[in-house]
Amino acid sequence: MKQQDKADLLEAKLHALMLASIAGRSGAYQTLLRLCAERLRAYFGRRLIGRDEDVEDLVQETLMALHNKRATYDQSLPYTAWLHGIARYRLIDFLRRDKRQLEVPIDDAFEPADTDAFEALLAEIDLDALLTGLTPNQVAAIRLTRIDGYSVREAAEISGQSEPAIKVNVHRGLGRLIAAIKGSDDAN
Amino acid sequence: MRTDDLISTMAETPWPRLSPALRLAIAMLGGWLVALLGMVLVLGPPLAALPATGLLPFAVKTGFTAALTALSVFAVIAAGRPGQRLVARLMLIGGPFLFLAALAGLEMSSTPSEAWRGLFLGSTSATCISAIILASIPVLISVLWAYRAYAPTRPAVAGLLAGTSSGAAAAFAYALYCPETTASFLLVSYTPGIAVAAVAGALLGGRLLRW
Repeated sequence: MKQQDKADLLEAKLHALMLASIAGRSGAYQTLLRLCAERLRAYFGRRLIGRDEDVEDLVQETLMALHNKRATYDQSLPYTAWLHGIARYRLIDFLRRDKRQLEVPIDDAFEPADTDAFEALLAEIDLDALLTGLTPNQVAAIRLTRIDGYSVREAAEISGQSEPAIKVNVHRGLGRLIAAIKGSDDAN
Repeated sequence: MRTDDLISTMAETPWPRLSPALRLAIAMLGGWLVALLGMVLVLGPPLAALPATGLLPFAVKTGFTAALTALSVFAVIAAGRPGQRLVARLMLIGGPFLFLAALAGLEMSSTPSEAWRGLFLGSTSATCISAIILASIPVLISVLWAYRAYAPTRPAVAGLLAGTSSGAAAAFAYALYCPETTASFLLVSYTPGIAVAAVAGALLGGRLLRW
């Protein structure tokens, strides 16, 4: 279906639901508000990427505005235009208030994100799988210096490689890793 | 509160009975009657000047102010409805002024230029401007109060139009008293009072009409 047809269909449905709501059918009104909530979540989500809590707050604020101002809807006009006008006003209002909240206190420490989603994402990263395809000397050099945290000299003592060899192996190994990750991204 | 619960709660509340437009009209009429009462107390009974001015100037004065009031009320209602287009309605407000300007042009062309000053300022210009400004105050207060039911996406513009409506309604009340007869006078002496009300409305609206 073409973009325009899709928009027309959505408008027709929302408009019909709004007319039914005005006629007093609360079921239609509930459906309408649910659809609006979905639209609003997408609309705000695209503009506030990664701020899911703010997005949901904004969705609720806007739903309340739609409800409190429902008598300002002119039945001869598109419902989506009215919805968009209110959503845009609420977004601008939010951004204006948000500017003040951006003043972060000086002692605000950076806390590592320890949410479940973050843990799950971490668990998915399989170091061993990433490191296959490198030579044993490269794996050892990268593990010792980048993962276990030894200095180049310590890594040289532990692995029996020379210091320049450690540096070269880390550099080449990381280069191949990056190439491999990029390659798998392109494949997707 | 979860969003779904919020939706369920809202879906159960009944639709408002009183439309915002009706509410605005009632409030505006109330404010206007207060303004008229003030004029009765200060200037005496209305229409006393009618026999002296004749019917045609009276019709021009009331017609101009009534048309301006109606057009700016329509525009302010549109400004309170998200998704409405405003530009055409804003331009319509210029109509009554153009009409007056055309009449004033006719008057000037039939009057020697030494007498133009009298044409524009009459003898009651100061009374007229201050009466319109004072009378617009109760109208503007009640209009701004009732207007909170609307959802202006540009509060200052809505305030400007609310102020224009109030000034025009106040000018309509004063038109029932005005002893002047020329369109030139209307243009020069009615406009400043209405403009003051419009600017006051814009300044107040930017603060009071946020939602």
